[in-house]
Amino acid sequence: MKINKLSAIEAIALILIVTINRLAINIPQAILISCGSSSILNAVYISLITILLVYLIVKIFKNFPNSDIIDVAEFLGSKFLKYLIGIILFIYIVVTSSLFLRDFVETIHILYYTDTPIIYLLIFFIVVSIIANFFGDESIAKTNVILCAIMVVSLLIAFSSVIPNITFQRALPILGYGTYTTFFSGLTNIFAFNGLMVLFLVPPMLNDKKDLKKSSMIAVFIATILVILATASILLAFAFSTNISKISPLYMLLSNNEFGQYFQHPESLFVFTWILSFMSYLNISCMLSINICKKLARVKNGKPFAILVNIIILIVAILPKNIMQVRELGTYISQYVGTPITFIIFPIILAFANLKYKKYRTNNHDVSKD
Amino acid sequence: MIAFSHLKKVLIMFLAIFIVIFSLSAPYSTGNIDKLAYVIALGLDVGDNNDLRLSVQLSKPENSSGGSSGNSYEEITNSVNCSSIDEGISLLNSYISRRINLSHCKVLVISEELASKGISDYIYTLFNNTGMSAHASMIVSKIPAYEFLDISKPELESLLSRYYESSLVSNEYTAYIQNVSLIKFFSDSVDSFTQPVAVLGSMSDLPIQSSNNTEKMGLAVFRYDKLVGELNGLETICHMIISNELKSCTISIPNPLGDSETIDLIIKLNNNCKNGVDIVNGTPHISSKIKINAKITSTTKESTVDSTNYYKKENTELIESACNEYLEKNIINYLYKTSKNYQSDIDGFGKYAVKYFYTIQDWEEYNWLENYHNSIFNVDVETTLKSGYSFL
Repeated sequence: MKINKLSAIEAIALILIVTINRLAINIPQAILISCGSSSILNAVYISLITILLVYLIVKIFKNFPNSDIIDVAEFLGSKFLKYLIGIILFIYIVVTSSLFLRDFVETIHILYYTDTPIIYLLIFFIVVSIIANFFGDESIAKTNVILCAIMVVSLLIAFSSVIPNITFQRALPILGYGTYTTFFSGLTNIFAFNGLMVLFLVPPMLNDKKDLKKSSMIAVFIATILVILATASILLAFAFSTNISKISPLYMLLSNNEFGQYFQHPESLFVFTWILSFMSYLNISCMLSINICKKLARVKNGKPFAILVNIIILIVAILPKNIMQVRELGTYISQYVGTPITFIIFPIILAFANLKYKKYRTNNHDVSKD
Repeated sequence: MIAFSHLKKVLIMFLAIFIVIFSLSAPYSTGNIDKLAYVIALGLDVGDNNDLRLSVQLSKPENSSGGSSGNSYEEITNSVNCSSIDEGISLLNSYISRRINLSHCKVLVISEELASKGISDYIYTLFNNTGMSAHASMIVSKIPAYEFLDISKPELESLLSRYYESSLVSNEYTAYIQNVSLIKFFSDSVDSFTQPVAVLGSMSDLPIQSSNNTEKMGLAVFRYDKLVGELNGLETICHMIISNELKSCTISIPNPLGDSETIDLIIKLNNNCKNGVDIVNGTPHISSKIKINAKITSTTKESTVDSTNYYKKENTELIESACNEYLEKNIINYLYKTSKNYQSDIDGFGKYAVKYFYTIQDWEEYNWLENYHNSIFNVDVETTLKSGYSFL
């Protein structure tokens, strides 16, 4: 199960799929409820900061072309830091995937499969993930490109559907609940880009090591555009977007807009693309978790981990009592765990590793062999 | 070995597809199309014991074995007294032995009596229902909702749903109503910029009707979720002009040339009217610049004579200024009626005022609707007479 063949486009799709899947469920809503009419301003603001941070991350990753964050941690703080970072990453990926799985399943349960038990729907996605991971990383990465493209197109069509209903004045008053909420407390909305944590695991998977910068920047650029468009389309279309929390704001957007007289209920088609895209997201989360397990356990064949990881995801997914608890936990973990890890702790580890690297370089030490 | 591995993958794929296809199909589910009763129109009214009276108009497909399928439908109207919409639907479910489905609901009829009490709870409940069609048109009925549904009979349509669709799109050429969907009504009712309206429906008293039927004429004006007043056909035209919703309509203006009492014009907006709000000492000063294109439809024997020809330059100018004067007067009256009498900004002038405020707190503190009551209006109409029809 060795993966070392990601092309630039596969890497872009891999980085992107984690962020864009959450757009359909709750990212825009969290921004809208917290910032009100200044949501677009906040989305642009956090997007610019994210682009800057990703640029810096890629820059400081330059000295570690064959390494992911676990390798860098090992280089910086020996085995202890390697296992610590590896375990934190594994737990974070598994827990967030589980919560997102439960959230997604609860959503489609409410919207379509009201008579189907939740556990059945959960197992449906888990089985897909197990089968996909038995097929191997290459199949997952290649399928992900297609599904990611479908998802992006589906999102763009969804956003364009609101154009006739747009009232630009809904972005006023320009500062929403005030400058503090928009620019300081609103900074926590950067969790919308937590999916970019994948960046720290991608470098060893790349076919051409120079693709990291290109893939990362393109992926983050597309992700920021989609987040801004999602926020803008939901804010500008309806007055209640900033007051009422919906189960899926994007579904609401689609079900409340007409696509001509002959295509009146297109939301089912969009939900179908989201299901496919979510399957791809779960496959990738599981694939990354398996790769971490392989690295920590120092084994070559990771396939046996596929069942184990998916069973853990399933167990964590059935733990919350209801969707409210899932959303609460998900938001808490995203804002207080995911964001600090992605945008503070890992960049600090990389920065210190760079300092150590500079010392080693004087002795012609090859980092990639560490 | 390679062939075996390949076969294994193919088998896994087929197994997965098999599981998905058969597990997601639900032949005995109550969600099947033949176990559902599709509501075409939903009515809400004040019940006998001051609770809710829920009415549904269902379309009953005729047995297709008798001839051409799907061309003829029979409508059924049922009604139940209940404490809430969901309870009413449950009671009706048990009565008709099918599960009521609202996804194809075309109209939501609310009685005037219920609308005056406030309909926020019902609208929130319906909007919370994922099965409810958000595009259902809102009608406020001057007669009880059940009665309105019961006498709504398509005369020129074979399908009830098509009847509702076609009767409500008449606003595109009459402008006597505005087709307002549930989602628009809900959005406007929680908005701080604009207030909601709904189509005003009643039993027809027009002389053209040969039998009892419904008519839709004018608009019901709401302040948040409460009905506060009505607009007649001409006032609805003024509303459609100001809110840039006018497609085309016919108006009769006093004839300045005197060859007949009135001249009929078909008018359209030349471009979106330019609305603006200035806030002077806390009082909104609202201005509207409206550009209209008009075509003359009526004509007389005298109008073809050279001196009184409608299309001579000096006569054209007279007709244009008569049209300007007529529209300005009616629009001003309409605007003061909605602001002073109803205190409801149904034209959404609030969105032009919000730019003067930097935060939501400032905007809420100003309280637009309270100040809208004191607004001063200035309307400027500029009509361009484009042509007549056969005569020039």
